[in-house]
Amino acid sequence: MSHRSKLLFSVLCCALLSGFNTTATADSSLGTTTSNGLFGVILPEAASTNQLQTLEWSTNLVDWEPVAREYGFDWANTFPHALPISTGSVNQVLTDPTDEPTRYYRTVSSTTHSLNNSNAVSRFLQQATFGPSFSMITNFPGLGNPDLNNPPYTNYLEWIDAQIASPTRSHRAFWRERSNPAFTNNPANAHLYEVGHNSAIGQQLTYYWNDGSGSSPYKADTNDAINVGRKYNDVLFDNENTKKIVWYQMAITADDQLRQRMAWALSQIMVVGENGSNQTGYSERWLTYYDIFVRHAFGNFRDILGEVTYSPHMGRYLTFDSNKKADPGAGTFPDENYAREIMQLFTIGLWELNQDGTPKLDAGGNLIPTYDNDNITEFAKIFTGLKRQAKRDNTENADNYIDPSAIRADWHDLTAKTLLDGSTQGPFPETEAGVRADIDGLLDHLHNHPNTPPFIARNLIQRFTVSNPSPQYIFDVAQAFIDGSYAGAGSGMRGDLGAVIKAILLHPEARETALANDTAHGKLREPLVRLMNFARAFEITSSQTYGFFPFHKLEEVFAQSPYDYPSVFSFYLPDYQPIGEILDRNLHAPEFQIHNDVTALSLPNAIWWLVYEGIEQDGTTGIGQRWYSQGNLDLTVETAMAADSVALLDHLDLLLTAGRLSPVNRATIATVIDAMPDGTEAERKARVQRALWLFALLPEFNVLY
Amino acid sequence: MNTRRKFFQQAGASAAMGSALFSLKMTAGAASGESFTDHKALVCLFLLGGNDSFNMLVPTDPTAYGEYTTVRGGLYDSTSNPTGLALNSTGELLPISDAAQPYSSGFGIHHKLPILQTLYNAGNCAFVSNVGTLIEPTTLAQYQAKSTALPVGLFSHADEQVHWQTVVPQIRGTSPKGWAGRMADCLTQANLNSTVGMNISVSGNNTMQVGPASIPYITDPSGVVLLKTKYNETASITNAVDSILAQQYGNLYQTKLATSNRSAIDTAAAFSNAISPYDFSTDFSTTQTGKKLRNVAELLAAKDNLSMNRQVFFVSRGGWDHHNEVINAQENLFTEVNEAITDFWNKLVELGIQNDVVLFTATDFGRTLTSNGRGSDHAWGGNAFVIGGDVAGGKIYGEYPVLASGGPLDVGRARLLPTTSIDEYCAEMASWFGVPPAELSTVFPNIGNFLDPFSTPHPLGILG
Repeated sequence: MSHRSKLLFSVLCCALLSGFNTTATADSSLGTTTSNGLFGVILPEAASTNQLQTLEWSTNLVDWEPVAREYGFDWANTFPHALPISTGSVNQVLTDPTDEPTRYYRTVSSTTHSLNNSNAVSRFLQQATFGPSFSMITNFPGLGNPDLNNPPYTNYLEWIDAQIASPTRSHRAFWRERSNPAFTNNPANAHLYEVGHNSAIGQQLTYYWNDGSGSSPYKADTNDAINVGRKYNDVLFDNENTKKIVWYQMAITADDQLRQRMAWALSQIMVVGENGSNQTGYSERWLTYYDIFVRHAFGNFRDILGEVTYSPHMGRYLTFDSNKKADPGAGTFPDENYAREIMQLFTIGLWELNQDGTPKLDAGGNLIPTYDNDNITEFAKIFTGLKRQAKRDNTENADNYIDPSAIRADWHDLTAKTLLDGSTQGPFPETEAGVRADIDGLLDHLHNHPNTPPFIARNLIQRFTVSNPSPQYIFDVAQAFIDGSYAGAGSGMRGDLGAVIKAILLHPEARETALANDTAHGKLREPLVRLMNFARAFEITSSQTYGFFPFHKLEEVFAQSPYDYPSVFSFYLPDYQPIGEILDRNLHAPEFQIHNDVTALSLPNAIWWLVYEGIEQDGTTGIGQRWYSQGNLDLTVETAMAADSVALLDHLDLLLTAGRLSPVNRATIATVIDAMPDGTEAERKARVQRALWLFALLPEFNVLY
Repeated sequence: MNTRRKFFQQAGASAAMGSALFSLKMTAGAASGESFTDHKALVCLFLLGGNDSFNMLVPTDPTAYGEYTTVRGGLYDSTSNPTGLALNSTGELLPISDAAQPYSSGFGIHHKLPILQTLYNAGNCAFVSNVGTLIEPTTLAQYQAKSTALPVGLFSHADEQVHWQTVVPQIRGTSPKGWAGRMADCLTQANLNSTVGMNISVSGNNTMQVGPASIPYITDPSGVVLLKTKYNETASITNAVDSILAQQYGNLYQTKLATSNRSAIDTAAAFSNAISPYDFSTDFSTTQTGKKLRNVAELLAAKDNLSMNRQVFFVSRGGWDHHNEVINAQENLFTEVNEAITDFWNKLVELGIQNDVVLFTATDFGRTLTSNGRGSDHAWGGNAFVIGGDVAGGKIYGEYPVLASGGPLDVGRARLLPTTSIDEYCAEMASWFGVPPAELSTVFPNIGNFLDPFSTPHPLGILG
């Protein structure tokens, strides 16, 4: 190796960006050190509050890349870098162990960036719910607290604790209360919300009639609707849509928003999707499965893993229902489907990880696979002998895709199995207990695998806050998973998801507003969440449909809707990299996998349609099922203030862009609005509608950062 | 290496221009060499999930057929042998022949794909047998000794789907980008007067069509999506939208959103005008595949309006992961594919462009020959087909493998080690399309491990 020169390079750069000025100071304070032959940069002390300092490196003085940053806490690596940073007594030191012969360093300090409390709360609610509403913001604890946005973020923690304590809104219970009048309460199944029909509510949702042998579809009682002045068509939705209507109802109106949002995130990890399921027409089995995530949203990951594995609905989707041990005579082998996906997608992923999510490397610098195909054929033997229970009544369909699978010990491969670490379990006796010990042993093994905390941590962080969490962020969330506690509170059991969600939402990387100056901070919001944001912010109502919001086939509009995961790989992959600077910097942006030339315009078109027409059919671009509206935004408040474009835009900035509306874009929208007449209420409403549509196109609305 | 540098120069040049129109053609000025005077199009039909293709093309000579029925657990019968996966040679297989194949001279095509039999016998369809992802030629002994480099994530959907599109299976993920994207960047003399890039997807984002300097235009069988008409209602709104999308944003995701939305608006407008004269909806079945191939046919017909003389289309159909119900589910999907291809071929003939278009299949992997009791599991090598007037059809390329547990290519549970690489398979298409031999190793970085692209630019001989 030729001699290495690593240089400090101080610059004054001034990039004028929309919204924020990034200026650099000439960092004469940046010192160097050499330790054990390795070059080190002495990192400056923390800058002032709400300011971001970034350490960048370059090999050519032209292309600079951030490698570490500081925003009022210790210096830490930015994704995807994992360079050693010491914890020095005064100054931290970043060591450069790479072989790059020439390396230049500089620090860049941002201007300060902060949000007022209302906007900061709105931003938090964008992360933690299906969208802020005005009352949620104004009722938020500590809204007047000057330390609201300072660690340890006590008021946010208070809100999360209140959410965890709030009553669970079960999707299955909601559906059962409103469908088959013959449904009765089943106390034995209480934890699965097998509640009875609520005669005070009536028969509002479509269901299948289960007569014990087969079933046939029953529609909601249209006479009920007609008797109270509604149209026949108002409440007549097919079964496929019924379960989605329940989902929209919860996303828009349920008070346990964080639980619902967590359930949605978890459902995107352990996917059962309509595509390829052959069960699209049913509701209850889907609702029961989804309720696993609702019930355990703040519970334990291991419980979810268990319920998912024993769910006959999952068993059918990933084809291990009635899976049998090898039969040499017939030349058959156990189905390998679940054995593979439970590792690749649900727990440990493909490569061995450090707790901070960075990959472990072997001596040759290569990634280390977590499993090979021999492990899959071995574990396929474990997922044998599960079979759905016998037909029964008091459910939508006699075929029992509701209750946990039963054990057929005679179908199970009882031999000893070798696990990933080389340890073995079994052989097992041909008993139900023996089979359960085999299956549960593997689930424990995966739950306790060192990969599971960072793998799940990263996946959940990506759903709530940022696409490219720093190694420290993943490490801290994984630690909450491992400890089962956050800030001293929690069950103390590995896999406590209540602790995990706190660690995600209360991490400085999620909370500190100075990070708005980091170009890779944040994420593209999910299209469905963006649409729900509008529905919630403007308190959508329906005078028909029993108050339901029957959005229709949104997956065909913008490639995402509840239960319509295209495959077990969900809507997007955690590592998706769109072309351009995101790819060039080796960053990830999952949601961009479903952002393309079609959906880029379909989503703002859908919001346009919601704003102007409501939940209504419109040939190829409508978002409803009928040719008349079945749900409209309530723009009364906004219309009342629309003559004053400043007040209107402040209000919309709070509800839709969390105070991040850039001055340039604010001026652009104000110009459009101010040119419109405001004399009549209709004219003022037209101002609001146009402003809303322009907000739907704003990068500040579509991206959360 | 020169070629590689050329890409970066082009990419850099367009970035310096501040162009936000990623799916529009990157640089008109970078053209080198003669421009194409003819029209050619490739259509990739990607069967997502892993088609059980050893039931799509079955050997029928007695010994081979006997081995086939044995390894597949016997003839499927819903009551007497529900775990069996073999098709009945009487009634379930449409006979074709290829005397040059050593394992069997007679073959049967799945009975729900009669169009393939028709086109095969007319010389317009060829099969490629036991094709799959490889980094270098690999024998069973080398596989077992792990003495050659092997694709990462073998038998996994996510990995193998990407490998089939990057053709760089030693790297996990999409960073190597796709071969059709690299091809588009390489063929700078194509589509000189077009504002639209070479690659068009009717099935959403994919990796195959993303190159170092280009991405596909994504369109939809239900019609080009335009921004709501309010965009054009008044100049002030148009200006406002233009201004919002033209700002420089300090956040990468915001920048990506603004640039891709700008591109979507502009390309949609160009597309909408170009294809409006063509509506083939009454000539195609209305299945998923039917609608997509109808959309492709419309875009082929609109080639002059689009000023395109080289087009690559990406069409995918999901649902092929038949761990369960392989017999019935595959019948349903083959029925759909058969109808769609029949309509597509008839339309090509009607338009007189059947010699200008090649349709080829891709899929995640072949499946285990052995049964899991109801279906088959993920495996490796499989069979594909290629359709077109220029195809030297009526022939099975590559070597049809021995179908047996413990056979010469069995890497376990009768997963078959491929004997033809996807490099060889895809290079066949690329060479026909116009990629010169000197550029083949840029489009297919591993191809030199299999052959000399200068002496063998058509590795299989299907298209030249």
